[in-house]
Amino acid sequence: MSFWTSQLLNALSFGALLFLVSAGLSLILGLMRIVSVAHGSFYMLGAYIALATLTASHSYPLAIVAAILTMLVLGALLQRTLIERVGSDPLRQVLLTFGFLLVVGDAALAMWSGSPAIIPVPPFLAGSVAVGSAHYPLYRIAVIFLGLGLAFVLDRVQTGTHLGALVRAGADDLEMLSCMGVNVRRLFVWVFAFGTALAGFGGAVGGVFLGVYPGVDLEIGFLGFVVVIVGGLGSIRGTLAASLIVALIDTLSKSLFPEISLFAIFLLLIVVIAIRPTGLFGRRSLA
Amino acid sequence: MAEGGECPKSYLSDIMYSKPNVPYTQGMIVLFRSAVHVVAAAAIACTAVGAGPASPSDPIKIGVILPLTGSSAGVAQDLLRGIQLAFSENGNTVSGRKVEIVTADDQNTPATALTEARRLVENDKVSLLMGSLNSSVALTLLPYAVRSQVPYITTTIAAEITGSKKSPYAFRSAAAAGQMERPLAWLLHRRGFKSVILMGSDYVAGHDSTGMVGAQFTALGGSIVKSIFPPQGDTDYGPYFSTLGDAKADLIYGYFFGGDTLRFVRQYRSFGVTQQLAMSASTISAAGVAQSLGKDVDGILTAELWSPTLTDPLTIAFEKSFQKAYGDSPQATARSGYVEGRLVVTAIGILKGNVPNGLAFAQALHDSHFKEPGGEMFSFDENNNATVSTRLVRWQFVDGKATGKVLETIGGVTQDWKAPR
Repeated sequence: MSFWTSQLLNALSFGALLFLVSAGLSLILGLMRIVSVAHGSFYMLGAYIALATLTASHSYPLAIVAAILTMLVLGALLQRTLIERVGSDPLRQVLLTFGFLLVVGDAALAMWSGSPAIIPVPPFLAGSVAVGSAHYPLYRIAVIFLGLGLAFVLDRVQTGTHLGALVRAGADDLEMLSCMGVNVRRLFVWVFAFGTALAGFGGAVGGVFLGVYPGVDLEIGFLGFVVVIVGGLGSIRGTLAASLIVALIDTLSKSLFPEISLFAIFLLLIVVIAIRPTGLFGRRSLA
Repeated sequence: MAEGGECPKSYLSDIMYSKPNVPYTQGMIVLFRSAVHVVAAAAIACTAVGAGPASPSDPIKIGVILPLTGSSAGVAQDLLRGIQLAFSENGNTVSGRKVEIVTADDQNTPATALTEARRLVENDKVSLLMGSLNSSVALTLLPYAVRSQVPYITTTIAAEITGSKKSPYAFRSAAAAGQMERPLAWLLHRRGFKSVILMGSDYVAGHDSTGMVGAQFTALGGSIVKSIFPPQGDTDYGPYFSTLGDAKADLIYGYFFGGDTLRFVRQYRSFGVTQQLAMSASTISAAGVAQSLGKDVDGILTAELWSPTLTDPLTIAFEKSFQKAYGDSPQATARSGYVEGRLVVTAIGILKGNVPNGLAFAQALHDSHFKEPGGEMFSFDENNNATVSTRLVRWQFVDGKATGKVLETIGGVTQDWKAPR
């Protein structure tokens, strides 16, 4: 396999993974304009719950469903009982969700200890497939399809359904949407819960790739913010495009100039914010 | 207290000059936590009534400072359990004198560690400090221990502790940087590996560890094909492995830690990289990493001080005793803690339970000899660095359990060990 084919596949698979873990944040930050720094916590909890379910039941579907449902309920509760109270002030949102992140981080440490863990590769995805003359890991191929598939479904929902219309309307003008008689409060609980459930799903799937350990919440939260800011708020296409661009830059800088790989992502962030503060596909800036 | 007026200032300056090696947000939390500790510690230190000299009937107090919370908590607990076992085996009494362990949480941060060390020495009146899992923490505690004339024993690897910053009060009961790497490189070269790709996390330990393996390897006539330093916390190692396909090397040596190790090994496996993987000590054996890796651990070579698969009588006795105390089988970290504890027990035995001052305690530690799990006799060199046995270990995952099988052991490895010609 040529160098470029394999690096392109690396970029695609890492980009798909980035999309899986940041799609939920895109909804939460974009539609609801809630600056949730706790997004990585939901990823971490999703991964831990998936791993615990998997260990107990040896069933991958059950592990994924458990992660999604638990995060759905937790997200709805968090929105309904806490975030709703702080209103639209981003500073208070950050403080509240940061507190949540600390509590969850320490609770996870107490429950699952500090030992790093990684979710085993599902047996049917172990091994590799022939790509051209060489082999490429099968589960990475699966992540590519999963990420693109999820992006397609989310995009259809966002652009082609009534719920999607409400989401887009909310991203553009929240007060107007409320005046039109939409129960914004209920919509918010659902969208927030859906966003956290996506993060839980990202944890269950990404845990195979990235592992789960204390501190992964901050790392994932950081990557999510980069992707969402580059992509633009509330846009699924933007988030997908940003995931792929960030992954491509990350992959190429690692394989060509490994010393600057961390810096490369920041450079992208700086350039995008300087030239297009609303992100590549966004219409509204965070401020 | 005479120094009451200066107290808070000196605490503050310690915090301002420390540079915790943690991500920004985490750093902020640590800074905040440290601030709380400073206020609390300053209040205690400034109001405490000076305790009188310990009488022979009081217990000897041993201060153990470890990152008991945070991401290193698992490893810290393992080490602590090993230390405690060495004392509890004797009913926490040595030569008729009670021994009491006082623990403190350093949060893996030099400033917090120093505050806690002061609390232990100045309030709790401990006769000895032990602990830290982080070289920058150990290097912060060291000058304080020397100034306070309290012996300090650590298991961290920084060469300075028993090198340029050596002191009669400073001890290392485990391997220094290089004591694992150089023998490992020598053994691997002897087993027929001639060209190596070095991969290490992009921070001091990653560069040091891979550098020492590389230097030993080239000194023996081997070659370094490539050196790659991915950033700490890197999420995707695929791009690095994709560039190795046509590299003419027969060995990869990796130094990563915690979650990075998991991703590194998982992705090394999934890309079907053909080169043999060797990794640094404690990257695989620490904190259940090997167990989490499952089948992916098969065939990885590491250098270890000890392995639970050894069958010498002391290893078996240690495992039995550990199992009885904690209902769990010990890993390499717990054994390190146990050796550290045995060392202190032996030294107190030499002093017949009477610890007159720090220097006498330090001298007794220096003179301590005892058989350690693994079967060798524990001893220090003239710089108070432990002479260790370095074992080449092959990992395997059998019946749902990851174990390291010892292939070869080199005894008598000192800090300046040289490969036999």
